[in-house]
Amino acid sequence: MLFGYAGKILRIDLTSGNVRKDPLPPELAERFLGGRGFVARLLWEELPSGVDPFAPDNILIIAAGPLSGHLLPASGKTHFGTKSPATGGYADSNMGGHFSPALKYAGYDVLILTGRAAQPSLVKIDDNEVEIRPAGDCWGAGALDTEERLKKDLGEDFQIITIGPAGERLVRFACISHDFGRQAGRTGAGAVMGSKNLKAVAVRGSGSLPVYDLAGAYQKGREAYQKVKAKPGFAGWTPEGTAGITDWVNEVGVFPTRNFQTSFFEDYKKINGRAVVEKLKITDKGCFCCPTPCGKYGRAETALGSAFVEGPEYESIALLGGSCFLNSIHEVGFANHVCDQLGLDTISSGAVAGWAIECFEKGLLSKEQVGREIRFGDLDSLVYLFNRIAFREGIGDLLAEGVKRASRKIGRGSEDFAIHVKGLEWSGYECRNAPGMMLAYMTADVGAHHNRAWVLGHDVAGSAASVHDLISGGGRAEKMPKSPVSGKSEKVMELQHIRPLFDCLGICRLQYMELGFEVENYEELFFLITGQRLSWEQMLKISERVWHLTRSFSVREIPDFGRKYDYPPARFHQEPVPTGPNKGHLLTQEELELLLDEYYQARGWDKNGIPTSQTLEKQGLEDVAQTLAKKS
Amino acid sequence: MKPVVLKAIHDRCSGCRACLLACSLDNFREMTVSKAALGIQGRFPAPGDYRVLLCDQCGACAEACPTEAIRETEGRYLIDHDLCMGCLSCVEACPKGVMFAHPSLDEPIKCTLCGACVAICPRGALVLERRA
Amino acid sequence: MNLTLTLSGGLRAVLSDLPERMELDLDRPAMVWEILLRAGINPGLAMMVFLDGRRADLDQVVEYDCELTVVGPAAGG
Repeated sequence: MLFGYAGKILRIDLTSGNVRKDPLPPELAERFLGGRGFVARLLWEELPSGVDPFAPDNILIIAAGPLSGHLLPASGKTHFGTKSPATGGYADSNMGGHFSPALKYAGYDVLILTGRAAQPSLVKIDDNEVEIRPAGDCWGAGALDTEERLKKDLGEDFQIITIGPAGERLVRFACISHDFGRQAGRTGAGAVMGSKNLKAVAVRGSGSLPVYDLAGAYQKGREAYQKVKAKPGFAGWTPEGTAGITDWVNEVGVFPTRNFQTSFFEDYKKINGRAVVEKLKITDKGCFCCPTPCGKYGRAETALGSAFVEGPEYESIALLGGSCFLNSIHEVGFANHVCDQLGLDTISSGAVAGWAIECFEKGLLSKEQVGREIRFGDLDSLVYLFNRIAFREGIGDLLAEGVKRASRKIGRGSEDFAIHVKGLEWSGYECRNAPGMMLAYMTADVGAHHNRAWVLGHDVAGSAASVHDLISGGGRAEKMPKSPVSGKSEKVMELQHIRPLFDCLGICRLQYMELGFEVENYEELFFLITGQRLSWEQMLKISERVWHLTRSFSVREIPDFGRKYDYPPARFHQEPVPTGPNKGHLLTQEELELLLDEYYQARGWDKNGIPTSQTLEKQGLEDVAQTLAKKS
Repeated sequence: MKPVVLKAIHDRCSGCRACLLACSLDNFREMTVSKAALGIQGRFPAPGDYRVLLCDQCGACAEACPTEAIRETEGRYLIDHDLCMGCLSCVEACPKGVMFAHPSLDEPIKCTLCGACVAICPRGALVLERRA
Repeated sequence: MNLTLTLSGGLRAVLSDLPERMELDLDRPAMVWEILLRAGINPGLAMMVFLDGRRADLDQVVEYDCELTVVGPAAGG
């Protein structure tokens, strides 16, 4: 028996309506753990090579981890994987909430969706019963409205994922929504769901999970909560959640501002964590079993209207607030709500809108093309753009393709400030003086995403200002010295294994990352729940294997994939930061080459960034090595 | 032991449902949220908050029970497993909606005031108070 | 003046050789950032600081026995 896991893979083919339940292969669990590991391996094994992301043959995988649904801090993470509409390569996205526990209580660790339904549909999973039913009026409705309707129709105890109009219309950065404000936001997984004519999945489970040592796991789980509560920072970090970092990123000059033109926003205190708590918040909103709920649910009031919204969390503040230059937390919250309802990723949406506004300012997009004037700092411009994008109307049809494709079409230098890597828009950290973080963005498997390795603290530590500067600045340096570029790969690689390991386990990393909840606790809980003795180091080895696998997936799926896909936009190596603590800094082309050279070598990849056969075999990925060898 | 009552401070609840898991674990030795004797209601999108649904030992279940299987002892109403015939009249009669039926159980699930939910709640949203 | 300095996991991940808890003896009132420098912590890494659990600024003066908690930078989203 596989303790900890629910034990089954549920396959639903939306073309034929066939439903299949297979036992979870023990070998899959042993070699890839769960969650992200399952997604990566099953995509490699089951996705027919070369399919279009929007073809019925693309597959959408939803996976829980071995620890999802168990009694330990924040065990409610759900992992999504598919072939990326944004990059054409490996895609995954992770979401908090309550979905994966419900999926497991219903009996499944993994849900694999294939094909395309003949008509807009919903999937309802109630323990053993699986039903595909017409989406009816839900098709066309907002992502939040759809969830509200389905909760009323099916019952409060169903956990539901939905897409909005953006997913239905295949916007390449459409997200999957859950629990009125949680999203699998990145890589366009919502558009893949839309391409399958699938509006929502609702799941309810009444079963129990098999546990190796139930009494021990219960006891240790209870202790875990006590330990987390006793950690320094427990009481302090939670009230503002992720938005609490807004001040710091400005004070050290890494806050994306005006489409990443600069890295410091003068009005940052108007859109920081304190503003969220004091002006918007109604309640803290937690994921499953979370002792430190970072979700802030509140109400935003603006001249354009009022709305309930979960958030804004930090990334939405950075991209909608900083990059689009909104200086009111109410306006950031409202823009966030508009994206949530339309089913748009707030990160990519902010990046796309910022790029479009800069194009407009520079005369690369005309008033006729856009349909009106658009400006930084103008909520009305954003709401207009987001609606155009979600419904692919007018200029929205171009912008719905994301900044990489749109800038290729517009040309005339607009590629230089299209802020993305591999076709995925950049999230909330500007890196012209953060070489480690820059490398993390360049080499993240899904594109420019921060949640593979967050190295910023180390970059800032590395560029430590002199005591003299600190004294004259009251503890903050007015001007940050340049952070050393060489020697970043080791830390980037270490962190690229840690964060994704939590995505394999199906739990949140924040208690570990923010509060320092020790790895020994996870090792012990993993043993009591699964009966498998794995050290943290051994688990990290699995995470490392997954890292090579996801890179190989992109090599297999993108014909000319390699080093040229790992560069940031020209803005970051051609334009020095114009204002703020990092004024004057940039990373030169040579420095970017150095970062990649050191990283590839340390990874065991060739100079073009392709994993070598030897490296893949060392990771136990012989079949992957053979496939890549055939390709080359 | 003095009689106690379970109370919720609703505004502290963040909807994590650890209480449901602890309740199922303590009373049924099972890792699930579906065998819990309390509930969490997320009121979204509006008004945007959580309510904890819990048993205040009002005794309506005992009154509804045709076999007198639910009896009060020191402020707690407990089910006598020998007398319960699983008719679930009490589930219908419960004014708070916190007597639960489960497909795998012959008897309803009722709060025993064990305090497992109070002990686990990371928010201090549940308290056991001495009855006035 | 006795000060207990506690450091969050996010901070200790960056400054790995520092303990979770330190006792400091100060001979005179000092600003938060000065105390951090004295303890070997770059104040630039302090995302938030708390004095006896209440949010404080880096230039706040500490003049009584208390617990100073430093939360290091940690990404969200």
